Amino acid sequence: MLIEVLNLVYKYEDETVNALDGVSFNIDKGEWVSLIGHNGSGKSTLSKLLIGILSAKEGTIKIDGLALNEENIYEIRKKIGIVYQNPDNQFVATSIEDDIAFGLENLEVNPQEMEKKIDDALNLVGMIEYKYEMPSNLSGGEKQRAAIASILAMEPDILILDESTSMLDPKGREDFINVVKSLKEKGKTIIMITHNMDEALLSDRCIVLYNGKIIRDGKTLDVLLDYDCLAKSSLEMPTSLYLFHELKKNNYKNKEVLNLLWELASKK
Amino acid sequence: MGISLKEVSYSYNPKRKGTKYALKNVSLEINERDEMIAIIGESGSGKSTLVSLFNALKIPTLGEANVMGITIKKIRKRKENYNSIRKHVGLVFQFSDYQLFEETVLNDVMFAPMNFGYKKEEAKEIAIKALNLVGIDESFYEKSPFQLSGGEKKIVSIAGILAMEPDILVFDEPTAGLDPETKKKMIELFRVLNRDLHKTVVFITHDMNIVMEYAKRVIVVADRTIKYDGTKEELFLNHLDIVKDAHIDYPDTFIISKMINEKLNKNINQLLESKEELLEELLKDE
Ligand SMILES: Nc1ncnc2c1ncn2[C@@H]1O[C@H](COP(=O)(O)OP(=O)(O)OP(=O)(O)O)[C@@H](O)[C@H]1O
Ligand SMILES: Nc1ncnc2c1ncn2[C@@H]1O[C@H](COP(=O)(O)OP(=O)(O)OP(=O)(O)O)[C@@H](O)[C@H]1O
Ligand SMILES: [Mg+2]
Ligand SMILES: [Mg+2]
Repeated sequence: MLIEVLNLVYKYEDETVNALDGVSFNIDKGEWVSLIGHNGSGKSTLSKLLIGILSAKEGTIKIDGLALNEENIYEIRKKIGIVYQNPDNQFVATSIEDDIAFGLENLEVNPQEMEKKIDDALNLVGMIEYKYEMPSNLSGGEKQRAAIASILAMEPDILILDESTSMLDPKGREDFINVVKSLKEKGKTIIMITHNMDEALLSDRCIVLYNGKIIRDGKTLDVLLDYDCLAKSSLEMPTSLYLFHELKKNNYKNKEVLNLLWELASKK
Repeated sequence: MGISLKEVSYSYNPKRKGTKYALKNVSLEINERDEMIAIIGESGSGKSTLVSLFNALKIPTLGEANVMGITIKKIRKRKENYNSIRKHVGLVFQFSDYQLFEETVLNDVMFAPMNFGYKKEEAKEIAIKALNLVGIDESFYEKSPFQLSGGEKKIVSIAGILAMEPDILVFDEPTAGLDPETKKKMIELFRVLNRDLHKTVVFITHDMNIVMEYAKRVIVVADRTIKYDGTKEELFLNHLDIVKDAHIDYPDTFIISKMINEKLNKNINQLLESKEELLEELLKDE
């Protein structure tokens, strides 16, 4: 197992309830997992625990066999990259180029390779023309793509994407999904936090958080067809699945239409 | 009255040689009542820049804007007038972090009414009403806005604008980061503001399902200018080129009914506004 999480409990200072309350799961190398759940369910908190910027009150995290603790944290951070929910929290430098370079320097990438890695990452998200721009001078979607590029350049084994597509235009979203698919093909492990059910539909597995607890963990199609779980979690079915599910419920007979909708929902 | 832009261009650094305009030559009229407008278009096309001209947050580099009877252009002396614009046109930013600044959630939402001269108790009443509308309960009132989740911040920032009680409400990507149920609730709230209180609501979004279900008028921004201003039906049915060039997409109902029509030789209306309507149509068709 690449990621092993056991009984995590986390409480923010001054709060009375736990933001995470006994969370356990394992993730295999090469899996694409969606982490879904209502606003405030604990998704971002969990992602911050996984990369060790918050530390759990109880419970353990192991990444690639290494326990996440002060001693191993730098080793672990080489394996795992996160794109934060708010891209403004990602930027450390005053130009996009320097920002990506900063991450690469931490990984001790040799300077000759640096330039190419930066350009490749920017090209992947269509941001090469903004290479020398200041992060604060970018539009919302541009910021989000620049933040994605700085993580892609580092080529971590595990990528955590915290609502990284929430402000991308439909074309940018499609391009990014294609990048994620190719990363998966290369054997990378992906944890994608999203409120976009079409995006969740593309993953192998969905973990549903509800008030800091995992209430469902299973194959994507099983979870996204679980009406009760989705309703409880303020989620919804992707449109194709919704129509499929409702038509069946209403004893709809036209097989061709049903097949078409199912194909649409289950194609990756 | 309302909002009117006449040949407006905007540059973030007008003094730089060979400056690029974030918006070029935009003309536009928005009524102060009864409009429900979606602004859509490619990332970086100028949408956020455009709406920040609506409440004089930005001043046109070229051309002029007129908001609620007040002219806003580059050279002018009396600046104080712009404050009264903000009372009429409320703007929710794309990033809530730029909007929230008070120490507690309740104070943050009370800020605008206090600023407009309401007494503390009245301001509190207005704020609580707004927080109730968006579904933020009492347990959040004393929390710092910076100790909220992404989606929670977003809805608090929406409540902040509702508490201003403006005539025109402008939302820059109001549903980004909201879970599906909360998203639906927010946009239904916008619909109520528009339909029952006759407010003008303008929202930027990349979500074509919302556009199809809720917008009465659609403005497409591409290449730093307005490329389309009209109905969604006309846009989706007859302007393939614009949809493509502006990096927008079609609503799910449109894509699915089109596919069924083409592959199974049926004749389902492609312009149904919601998935519920499409479901009904399919059940009827059987
Ligand atoms: N810094 C903080 N201090 C105190 N409470 C916090 C803090 N950050 C988050 N919380 C609370 O912890 C809970 C979980 O927050 P988290 O950000 O993990 O939610 P989320 O699932 O990512 O939500 P969203 O979908 O809105 O981004 C929420 O109730 C939130 O109010
Ligand atoms: N503060 C700034 N300084 C300089 N240029 C800027 C600034 N803010 C935005 N721009 C540029 O102006 C253009 C328009 O940006 P704007 O934020 O209006 O786009 P947008 O349509 O809202 O995009 P998105 O959908 O990504 O939010 C972009 O090319 C952007 O890089
Ligand atoms: Mg979050
Ligand atoms: Mg924007």
